[in-house]
Amino acid sequence: MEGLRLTGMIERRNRQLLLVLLCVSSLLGLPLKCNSKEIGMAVELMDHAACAYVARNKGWFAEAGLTLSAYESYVTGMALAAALARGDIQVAYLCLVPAINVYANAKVPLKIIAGTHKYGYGLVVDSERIKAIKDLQKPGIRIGSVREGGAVDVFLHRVIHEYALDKGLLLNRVQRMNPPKQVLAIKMGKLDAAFLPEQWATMVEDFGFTMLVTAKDVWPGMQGSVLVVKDELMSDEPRVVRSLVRVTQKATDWVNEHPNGAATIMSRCLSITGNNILPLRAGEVASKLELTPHVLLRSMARLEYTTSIDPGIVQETIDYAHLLGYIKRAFRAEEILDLRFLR
Amino acid sequence: MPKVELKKISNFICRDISLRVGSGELLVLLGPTGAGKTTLLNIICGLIPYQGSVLFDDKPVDSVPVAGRGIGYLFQDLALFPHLDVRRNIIYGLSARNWGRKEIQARLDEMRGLLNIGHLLERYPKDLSGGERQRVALARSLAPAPRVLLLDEPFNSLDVKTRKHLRLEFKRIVRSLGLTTIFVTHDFKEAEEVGDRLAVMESGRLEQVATSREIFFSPNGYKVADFLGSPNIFDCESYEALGNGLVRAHCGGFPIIMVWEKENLDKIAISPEDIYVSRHEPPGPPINRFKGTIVEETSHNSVVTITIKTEARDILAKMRKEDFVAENLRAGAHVFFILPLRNLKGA
Amino acid sequence: MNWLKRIIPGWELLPIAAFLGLWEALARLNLVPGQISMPPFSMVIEEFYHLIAGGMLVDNFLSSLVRVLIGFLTGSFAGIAMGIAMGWNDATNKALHPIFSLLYPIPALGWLPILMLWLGVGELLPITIIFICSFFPVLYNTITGIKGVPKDLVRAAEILGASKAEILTTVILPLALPNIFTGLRLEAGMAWRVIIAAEMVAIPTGIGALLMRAESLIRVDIIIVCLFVLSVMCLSFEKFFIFVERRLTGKWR
Repeated sequence: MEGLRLTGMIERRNRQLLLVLLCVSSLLGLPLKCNSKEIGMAVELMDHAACAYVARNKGWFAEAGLTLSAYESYVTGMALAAALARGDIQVAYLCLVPAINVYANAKVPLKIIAGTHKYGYGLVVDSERIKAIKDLQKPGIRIGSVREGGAVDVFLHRVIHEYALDKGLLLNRVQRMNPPKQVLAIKMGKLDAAFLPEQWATMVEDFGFTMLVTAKDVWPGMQGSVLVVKDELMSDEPRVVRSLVRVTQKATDWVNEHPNGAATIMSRCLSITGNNILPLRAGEVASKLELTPHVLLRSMARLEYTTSIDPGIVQETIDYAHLLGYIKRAFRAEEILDLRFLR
Repeated sequence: MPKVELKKISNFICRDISLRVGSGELLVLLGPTGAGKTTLLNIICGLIPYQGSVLFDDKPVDSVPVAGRGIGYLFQDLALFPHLDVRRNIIYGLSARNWGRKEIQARLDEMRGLLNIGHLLERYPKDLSGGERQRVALARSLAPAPRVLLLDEPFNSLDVKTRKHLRLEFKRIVRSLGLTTIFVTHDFKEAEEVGDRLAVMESGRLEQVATSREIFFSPNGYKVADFLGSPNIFDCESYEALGNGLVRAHCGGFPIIMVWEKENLDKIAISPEDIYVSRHEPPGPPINRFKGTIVEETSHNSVVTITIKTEARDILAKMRKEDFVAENLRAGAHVFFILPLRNLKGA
Repeated sequence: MNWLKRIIPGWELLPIAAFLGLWEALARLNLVPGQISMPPFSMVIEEFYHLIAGGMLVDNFLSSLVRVLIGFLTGSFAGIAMGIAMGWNDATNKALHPIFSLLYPIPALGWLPILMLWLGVGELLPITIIFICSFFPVLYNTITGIKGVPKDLVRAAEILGASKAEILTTVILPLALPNIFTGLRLEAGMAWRVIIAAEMVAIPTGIGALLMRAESLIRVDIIIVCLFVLSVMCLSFEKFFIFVERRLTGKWR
């Protein structure tokens, strides 16, 4: 961890060059397999997708004969759903709740083939103004959260439910914005509390905010992100799907065994990717924030990296999404789960 | 009604204009476009700044505001308020001057009768014909009982027939009210028909103030003559009565028959555009029919000015270009020309 | 087309019916592959009903409506008042015209970032955006209307004895109305378009916020309902001003 502190030292251009070199070296290291499969992949811009960043960095996708024709992150669920529907991407590492929305609302046929982690969401507060959960209801408290339909929003509702808060009052106070904008707002003193996904929640602790509640506190076993593939990939290329699961499992094990190394890799990847895909201002904020391996390590400690996935939790999540009005009709978890390749 | 006097009026257009209009007189301000006629009217109203003095009944009104001068003004484009119906247009000035309701109604009834517009009161200006708009505009300017009436080419946009009809009616109304009136036009015939006296303006200056006959027969300088179209003026040496109001005048080799019932006939004049010219002998009685040769032709827009040389003198005539071409006329051509009875003026 | 009117009463609705029928068929048959499926028209209607019955649409609509009304009315009023001052008085026009010329070209939404800093994210933000969106066009249309009144009409009124105030109220303003209404009519619709965009920025209520929620949830049916509401409101506001203009100026134009 202490050895490499690349984020603050390498210039932006050098980082981009490094990424290109990584890709090239990955390709060069690729065994010449005539049946390498091109796939488009979406990866969320958080340490939730640690396994994906590690696998790519280590060249394990390439080793498994998977060539990434696209490696994207999408700012909105709609954009992701559209890309999946169009076939631009066939594989995605994303939070369970958006995956459910894409399946149920956008009617994109997909399957969850593995988990990536549990938990990974938190409520951070200005401890001078908010000392307990009930203080969220004090007059003048400004709260940030992501848009409806995200896992963080589900977490927000769970907090309201578990602590019996005034739903109407609280939801009226919530200012909807993406995590980098929330961080900017916190920096400028425009928010008193924020519901954030990791690693963002941990990052704002450096601004004097305190983690008040985590997902584990309100929803034991809460599924974080999952690995999904389009149905047609499953039916046309089951070997590819199995390879994806294997690589994900391998990378997840590596993350658990080498947290420092994983933190170092992600510290680099998240900064570069953030600059490239976020709106300019947010990207600038993201790049200026201290996304050091140290911060990431603290953040990762709040997640449980595992590919195992509990169908019961998935069903609970589906039902909860229905209850919140995200989806019009609840459905059976078996419709969206296909865990045959999970060991 | 007051007499109006202008003393050494000057501004960016008008130059040192001094003019008197008698009480109840109808003076016509005549001149080409750009002569300064409208500017002079605006000065009398007090709408634009000027040097010199405007007097009503020998009292200066230079410091009197526009509304206080007691003027009725008929604009060239009439300036009827399009958003008000005829009734409200007419009574606009009365309401502005805080007349009582009964007084307003009485005055409105008067205007209705005077100008025959009773059936138009509920209509809007856009629904009126040209002639109706003129009447309404006149009613509006007369309604506040002005002392002086100013009219700026009010009949310009009308067809010939309506124009003639309205001119006569206007003259009758103004005479009956005895208003001191200044009427602006660029048409000499209109001026002749309407005015007691004419004041000819050119380039901001007053060139001549006299009766129409005096101006026509004795234009003061080439500018006035040019504006009038350089009429052909014949000096009469003698004349004899032919009966039925007709006389035959001998004018330097031209025996001219015209209608004349007055005593002395010294001059006969005819405008160049009133002379009929043709290559071949025209049909009809041989009255005022002469021969000559075209010695000069000048074309300007759609009018050709020709100089016809006769034994006695040169005659100036004007023709439409298409007629000139149709008759196959050119310099050197022998032509016949007629001096129509109805267009001859005597003095 | 008269023969068509005779055969089929209400024939003008045929193209709309055909469009809706085509939409329903295409959506049900999912004939456009590789795209997020478009919900059928019937599903949109169903969702429209649910949103109204559940109160969500009405609540959000009323939030937007209040913001639009406040912003539009204050902006228009200010625009008309300033327009009268600048149109009627040359000195005022000369003094203010350079400033407004610089500010006018900035699109209303361009003010969003700086207003977020100054006003924060609250009710005042969208209302201010609407105010700006309404103010400038109404201002310039008012000035144009006033300056467009023929000078002879003003002179006629002056000669007939009207005071300056009377000339303004009885001649200038009535004749400037058509231009003023043009500005109001154009901006009434634009205000709705702008409010949607303004509400998309972190405002928790309003049609714009509902639209953003629907986008996050990938609920295309709700998005279409929001767009439909937007379209109806734009049209309604414009029609309203056309109606009022006709009532006030129809007789003489």
